[in-house]
Amino acid sequence: MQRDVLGGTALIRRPSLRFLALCLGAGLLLAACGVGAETTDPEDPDPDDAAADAASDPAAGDQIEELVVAVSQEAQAMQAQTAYKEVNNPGVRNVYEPLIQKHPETGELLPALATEWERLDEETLQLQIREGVTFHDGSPLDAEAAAYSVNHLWNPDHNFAIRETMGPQITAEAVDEFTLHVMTDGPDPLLEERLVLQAVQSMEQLFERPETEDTEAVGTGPYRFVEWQPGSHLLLERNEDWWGLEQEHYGVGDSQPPFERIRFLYRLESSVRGAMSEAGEAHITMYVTPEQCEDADADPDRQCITNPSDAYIFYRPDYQEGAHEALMDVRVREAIFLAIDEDSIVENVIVLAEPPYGQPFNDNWVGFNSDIEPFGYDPDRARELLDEARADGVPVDDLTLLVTNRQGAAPRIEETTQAVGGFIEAIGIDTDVRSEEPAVFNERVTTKPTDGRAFMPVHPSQDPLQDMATPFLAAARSTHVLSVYDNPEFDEQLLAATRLSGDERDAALQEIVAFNREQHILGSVGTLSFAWVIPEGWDWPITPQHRFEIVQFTTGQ
Amino acid sequence: MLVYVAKRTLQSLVILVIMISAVFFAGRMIGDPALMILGPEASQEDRESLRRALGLEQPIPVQYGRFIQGAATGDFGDTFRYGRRTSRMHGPDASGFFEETGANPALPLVLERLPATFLLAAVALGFAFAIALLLGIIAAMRPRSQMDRSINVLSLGGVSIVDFWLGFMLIFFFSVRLGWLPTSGAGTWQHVLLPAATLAVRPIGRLTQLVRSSMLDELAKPYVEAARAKGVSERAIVYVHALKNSAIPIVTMMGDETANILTGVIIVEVVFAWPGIGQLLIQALLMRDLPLIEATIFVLIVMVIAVNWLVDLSYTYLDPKVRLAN
Repeated sequence: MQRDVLGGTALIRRPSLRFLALCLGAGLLLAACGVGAETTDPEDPDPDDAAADAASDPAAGDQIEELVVAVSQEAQAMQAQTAYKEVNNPGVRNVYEPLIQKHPETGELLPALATEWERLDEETLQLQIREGVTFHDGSPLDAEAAAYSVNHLWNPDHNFAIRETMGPQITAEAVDEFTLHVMTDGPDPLLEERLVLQAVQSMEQLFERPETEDTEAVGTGPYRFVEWQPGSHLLLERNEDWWGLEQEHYGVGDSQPPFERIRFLYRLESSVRGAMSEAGEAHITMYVTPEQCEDADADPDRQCITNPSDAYIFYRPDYQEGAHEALMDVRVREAIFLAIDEDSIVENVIVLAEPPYGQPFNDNWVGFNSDIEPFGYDPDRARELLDEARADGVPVDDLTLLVTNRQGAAPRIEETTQAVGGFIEAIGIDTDVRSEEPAVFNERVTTKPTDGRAFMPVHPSQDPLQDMATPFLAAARSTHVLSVYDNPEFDEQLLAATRLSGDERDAALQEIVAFNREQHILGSVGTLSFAWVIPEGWDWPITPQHRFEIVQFTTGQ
Repeated sequence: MLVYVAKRTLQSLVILVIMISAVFFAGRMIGDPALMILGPEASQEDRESLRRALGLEQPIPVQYGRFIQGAATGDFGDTFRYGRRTSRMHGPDASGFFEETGANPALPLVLERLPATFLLAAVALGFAFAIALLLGIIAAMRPRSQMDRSINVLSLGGVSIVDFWLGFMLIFFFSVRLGWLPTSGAGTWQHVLLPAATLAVRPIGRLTQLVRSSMLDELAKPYVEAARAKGVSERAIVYVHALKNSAIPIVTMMGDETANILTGVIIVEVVFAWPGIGQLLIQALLMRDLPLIEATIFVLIVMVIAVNWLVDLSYTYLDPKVRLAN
């Protein structure tokens, strides 16, 4: 007999419990079938509470007081040097400004904190600093402040990460109150481009409050820094004293800061960012997946926009003394390149990418050669080439190509590597496909081939300068730690090209690209694209660097 | 009792030293830290320079001695990525690496995030304890009933569930579809509910089963029959006598679950963007920030060991045999 241990009085009466459970279940089901609700009180000032603002319909023109942006990466510091790459510190380019800006659509160099510039010689650039500009701490922008900022960021003793984009050493000096000279210790045709990357910060902050350089951003931009909470968010507020108010910039977007505040919420997980977008907790969402992109396009209040970036996925088989004999034969390398169906990988695996054009990058890079054909996908021709090589005694059948990627290096990099390996296997070359820990991969990719090594990494790379010299300097110049190509004539040709500028530079780099095409040194799966979700009715010409600058948006606010 | 406490404390310290030694050696076994930190593009010169700055060119016993000494004083070095230290990793003069002002020591960064993790863990434990106790008692009082079977199925489901999947499902259901709770972040009491619920589900499953079986054992004992015969109320029998006598295994498992929750927060904090040490650890791993990784794991180890130590101490209150034996 089942004892009622409470002597007839149950703790919870069974009929009530069942009834409650039924009601709860029914209620949840009904609610889940589409009855949404605002999550929080519009008056609630808490950091992550954006529902009040998000609840208003930007597409209908309702005023948004605080724009909420869900970003994929957390800032590690507020230093001005972090602003050269958007993922280092998403949104901070609304606080800091460069001397020279780039048109987001045409790429044309435009005045920013410098109103004009001219080359005095191949190592000196003279700039006129914009008058009447103040930093957010009230200190004035003049040539001395600009020079200090330039010297601070490029200083070899500081070794900021921005130096990875530097050519010859950059220094600066003030000539008079508003005239600045920026010098390089060697010809640098890309100096103006490098100054686009460099943010200008307050000299007064660096002198009087140096301990705040890591934690507070003091620039000249349309938004000023309010607070940064590591692990949580970055909050900015509109700069009512911005020099650019009531001026048009680049002829793109609103040109004005439309929102009183912008809050960047750090959300590492793409699923969470997607959920925030769908729930209306974020107006703008950075770097969404293709599936989230589709969902946004199906939503009448949101849209997904994509653009190619300055990042690409390359592959480069070993090709240097010490590598496997088969890889030294251009026919075998050509066969490997012909075996890979990049279009298919872009369409079916990576999705958010542009296929290559027979060269590592797309047509907005300096040095893009429009005369050369894509490598193409031709497995039959690849097999023929291998047969020819075999007939000449090249040990193709002895070749096992190690194809690897570094875990987590790019979206779907593991799947991309498997696809690349599979295509190569299909033409009759044995492959060993692996996804490696960073320590293992980094060690292997920086080691020159010996003892007949046959290795081919599949890995992303990036160049905010969008100049063909950069990837070849890294992957093909014999002295670089990443290179497995050793050709002194090629090195000389490449270095000569880097000393040129304008059309001459472009032509010289195109020759390099054509040589690469012929020798099959460096291949590319494609240029990565990234997707953002923004409100329906807004417009934003995304730059290849995917730099978030709110004045470039058209919001109707 | 003092002897018991002293013995447990000494054992805990020994375990702590073994664990953090494992952290030290693991960090050096997975590859060249300088290469991991700088990435493959760094020159050989830069790597050598960073090795010198980090003391990595010293013999392993010397490095180990310095590491243990540092750990004893809470000094794991400066984080490479947070703050100014972002910069000084390249170039021939990285030897001045740790002498510059504005250094950002790793351990205080970790300790800053601790309150958020404690809050999340405490709420999750609170959920787990309250719900498991309720369900376990209900199941024990109606053995082999439909209610008992339902609770058993639910608890098995809780034990089997994958926490990050559950987290995403809760976000989808309660935030996106229903709009009742925020998807992520921190700041209000609503923000803590979903991550705490995610963390609590597995402990609820395990604790419920343990509470049920412990209570069933106690309720079957002769003293319970005797108490009923004497007219003691069922509430008193269940909540005062039987529950207290079944407390030891429950407390032991609570300690175990506390430790699991403290380590389980790592994934949950990332899913919900909760600004605790779990999220910090993942950031440190992604950024290959060795001092920060070591400091964070050290704090986690200390917390787990401390919880187990407290559980051991609680036996002296709960079990008179332990008190009398010592």
